[in-house]
Amino acid sequence: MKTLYRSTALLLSALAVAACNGDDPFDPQLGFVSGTRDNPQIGLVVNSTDKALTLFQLGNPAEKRQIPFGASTVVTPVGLSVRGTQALVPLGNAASVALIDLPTQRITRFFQFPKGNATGSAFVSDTVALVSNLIDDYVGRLTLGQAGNVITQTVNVAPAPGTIIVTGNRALVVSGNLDENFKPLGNGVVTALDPNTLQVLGTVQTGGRNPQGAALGSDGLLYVINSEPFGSGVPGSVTIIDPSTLQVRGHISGFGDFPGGITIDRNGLAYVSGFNFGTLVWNTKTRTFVRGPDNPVCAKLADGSCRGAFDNAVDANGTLYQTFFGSRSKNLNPYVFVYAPGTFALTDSIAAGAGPTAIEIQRF
Amino acid sequence: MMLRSLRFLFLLLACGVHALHAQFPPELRGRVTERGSGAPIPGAVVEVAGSGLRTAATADGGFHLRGLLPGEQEVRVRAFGYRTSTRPVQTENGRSTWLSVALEPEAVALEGIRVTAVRSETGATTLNRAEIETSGARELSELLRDQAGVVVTRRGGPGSPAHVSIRGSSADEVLVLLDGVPVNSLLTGEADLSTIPLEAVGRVTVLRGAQSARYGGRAMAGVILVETRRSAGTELGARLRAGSWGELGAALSAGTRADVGRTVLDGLATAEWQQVAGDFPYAVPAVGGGGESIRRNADAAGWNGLATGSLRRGETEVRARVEALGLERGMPGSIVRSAATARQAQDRLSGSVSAAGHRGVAEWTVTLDAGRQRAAYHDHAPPFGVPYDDEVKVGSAGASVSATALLGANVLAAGAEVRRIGFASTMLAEGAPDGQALIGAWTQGRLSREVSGIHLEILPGLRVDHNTLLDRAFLSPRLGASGGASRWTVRASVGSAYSPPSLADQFFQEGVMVRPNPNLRPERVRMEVEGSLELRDLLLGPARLDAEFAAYRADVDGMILWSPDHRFVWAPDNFDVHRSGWDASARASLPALRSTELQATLSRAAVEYDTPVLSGQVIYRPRWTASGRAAASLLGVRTEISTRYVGERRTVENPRLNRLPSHTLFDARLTRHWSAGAWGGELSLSAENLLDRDAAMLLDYPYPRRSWALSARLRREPRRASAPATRSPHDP
Repeated sequence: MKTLYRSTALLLSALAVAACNGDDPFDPQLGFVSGTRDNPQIGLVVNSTDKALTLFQLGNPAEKRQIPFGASTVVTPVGLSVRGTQALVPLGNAASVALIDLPTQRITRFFQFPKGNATGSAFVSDTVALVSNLIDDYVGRLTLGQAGNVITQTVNVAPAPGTIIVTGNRALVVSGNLDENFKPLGNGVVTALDPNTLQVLGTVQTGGRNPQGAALGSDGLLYVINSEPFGSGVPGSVTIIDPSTLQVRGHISGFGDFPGGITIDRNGLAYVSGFNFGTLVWNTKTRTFVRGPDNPVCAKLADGSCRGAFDNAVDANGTLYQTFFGSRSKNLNPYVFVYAPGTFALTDSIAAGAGPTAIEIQRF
Repeated sequence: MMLRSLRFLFLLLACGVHALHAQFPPELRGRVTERGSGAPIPGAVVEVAGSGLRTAATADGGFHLRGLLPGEQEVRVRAFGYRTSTRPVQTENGRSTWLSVALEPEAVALEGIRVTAVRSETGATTLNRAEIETSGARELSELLRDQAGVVVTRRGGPGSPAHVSIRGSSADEVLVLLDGVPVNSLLTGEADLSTIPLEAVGRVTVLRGAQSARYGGRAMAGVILVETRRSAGTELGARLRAGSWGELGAALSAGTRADVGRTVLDGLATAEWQQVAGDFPYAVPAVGGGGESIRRNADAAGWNGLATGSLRRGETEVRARVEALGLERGMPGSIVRSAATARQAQDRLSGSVSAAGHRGVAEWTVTLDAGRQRAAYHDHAPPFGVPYDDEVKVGSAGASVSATALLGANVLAAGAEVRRIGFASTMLAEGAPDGQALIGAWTQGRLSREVSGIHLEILPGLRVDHNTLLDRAFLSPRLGASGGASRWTVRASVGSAYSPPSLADQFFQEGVMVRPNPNLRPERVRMEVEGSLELRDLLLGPARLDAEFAAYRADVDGMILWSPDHRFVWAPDNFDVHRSGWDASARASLPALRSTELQATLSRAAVEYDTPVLSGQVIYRPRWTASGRAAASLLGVRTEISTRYVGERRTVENPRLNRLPSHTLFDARLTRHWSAGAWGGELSLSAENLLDRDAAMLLDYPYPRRSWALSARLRREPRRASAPATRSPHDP
């Protein structure tokens, strides 16, 4: 009997120690996505090559979960949107969108366009979302609990719509204005929609070609990245648009070769990533570079050149997370690189699946 | 003085030779060939009745039996798919007797005919006409899919494109030759086996491993030799087939043969037509909405015709052949993003003239061939991308010459090939080449020796190739060795091989989703090492067992693999790959137990990336494949059950995510043979995917579920003359 007591006590002690371990879920109800006790934030990375969504705990990046979307060659995910504990991942050429329950890491359901390419998405509310169709030039509205899987409520917008930003009572759809060969027809266009009725409220040109990314600043303005055609050598630019009036408030050039992802933190610092240079840091308040094209934030190679960056995200502490796609031809592995706030010193690299593209950081 | 010395030496040698003759018991040497074609029959069994002496014919049909008793012997020669021939032969001490045997193809699939492949002494697998007919296969891919180490990847149901991989290779690393002319697409380097219907085919041989030393570029993982039929006599044949998914097919053949003095003339014509609607149901993946749907735009229709004739006089034969093919089919694409209007049309016309003969110990062959091929692809409303209307035109002309010298038990052969190919395609970028010249020369030898009852052979080979699209010549050596007796053979070989990049790899017109890579280098297997053990005719109670096991290592330097970049633009690149594995196969027959036959294969192919950024199995290469077959006769009906297993495959870089699951499929066939006088035939009912499984070799390109087919074959037996034993001109 004494032995049994002793064994029970040892077991309870072990369980107590394990319970205090930082790797365990902070909130048992949320499980893995509650993060660690020290850091409840979760990184979400879209793996376009693995065709999956990877989740990692910022407090313990070795702890990861992966949600596969299916290996079909038409599954080409590059973006995601998150609201509450749900995520939407447009699956590109599959013309389909995956709705994911993040605490259980399960795909709840898929929504489909009849054809085309699902590229951008944004939640309007906890139950409504918008998805852009890059090829068929429209935006669709879906309800998460709708009866069928097909997205039927749509509105035409300018050609090649991608990123969608919802602010206030309107949705801003950024169109590349590309032809069927993905060549620019002209400057990019932002279309303002009523997200509930899908009524077009107005449009504005971005002043640059092939816009690939956009973000809302802490000042409430929309910052659009004009990437310019891939391989054209024309430096990218940023166009600043007032969402309510659709007036262009500014146009700044010199954002490097083919910039793409943009994130703006609460201090007004814009992080603009480019596949060929890394990440530029630009102050939206002063409209000056903190780290310009001649000194981007990047993980350098042995020869001093920069690894590129597909996208970036900033956590609550100002730590910068940057996705590096990897390069088979140069034998470079894909990573999420981590940079210290303020100094942007490289502090860590996280293996988060193959072909990491979009990244978000969330606390659930 | 000198002359006298030489004369003396000659006399001395002559006496010596005579003395040596008197010292050894009778020998029997010879060659086994197919009547009509004159092609060697590797693996044919030659045995002396009542003596227990037996051997198997080598790759060139040659055989050698020692230690015979002097006097009249009865020699029996048999091979699967051929009528057994029994001959009286007179033997003498100190004499080597030559026996040429031409076996008649056994066109009637009698009960108990083994529908199994025979592996020859060179490690090849050969399927003859009888086996092709009995297999029930519609086209080449169905015939090959049960062979050890061979993986056939079909893009859906019957009539859809099908490509072949051997030992984990890419499809463009397997050379497919139709009567010696490459079938591999000049654009992609891959051979579409669905364009090789079987009615006109007489024999198929599968050579595994690095074969560039004989066949040049693309023969990196193996070669498939397809030979068209020849007439065995006056014959008539017809076949009808109907099955699920709107399948209909018909074939006719007629042949004749005439002996006019010393001249033998024969001719054969075949025509074949088939179509399939292809509208089978399939499970829609969740990403595509789930549920079930019907495959659309998966129809196919095709025809082909062959006319061949030969004239043989004395030791020389001239043969001419014309083959034509046309097909038209839908290209439905992925089930997630189906292409409702994509179509492909293809036609091919080719011909050849060859002359062959032998004089003394030498045999020679000269072949001229020419052909043209056109393929058109169009889709006016693709699911993504822009409408297209593309065309590929290829014209080729080639010449080859070879000579073989039979030097006692040794063989020395050499040959050369020249080919000029012109092509035009709207699918290639501006600046792409419009022609190509290939020049190759090869030599092979076989040195044989008998040591303590074990037959030893050394097989050296060397080939040099020059391709005008590559900037240098390629040297491909190979050295093989074997040793064995009547029931076993052990083989080992080392060799190198190469496969050039295809035009699509280098010059594909850059589009929205693809980008060629003009800087690709040819793929190389710098050293393939292979060892094998073959066991023949083992008697285990009432069963006769044949088995073979082969293991290999054949790393690939710069395997060309396509993968998407960050913009989902697919481009090819060279990757170093470790490749090793083994193939095992076994066959058992129990003639006394309802003519039961059992066959099984199991193959393992580890094909792993060897780069800093990628590791593990190369995508879409199953590590494990297996097949099994059992057949028996019951109440006059031949019942056959077969199964195929394909292991799971990796489809993305991550080894754990999005794997394509393994599948096991079962097929069944009931066949009733009949004959009445000179006429015969069979009625066959077959079921594919008997258990109604969901399966696919490529993601989103599902196979049909359970399907049925009924086929009937009618034939009038070829009328033949008996084939007398002949003596070689150098027989004493």
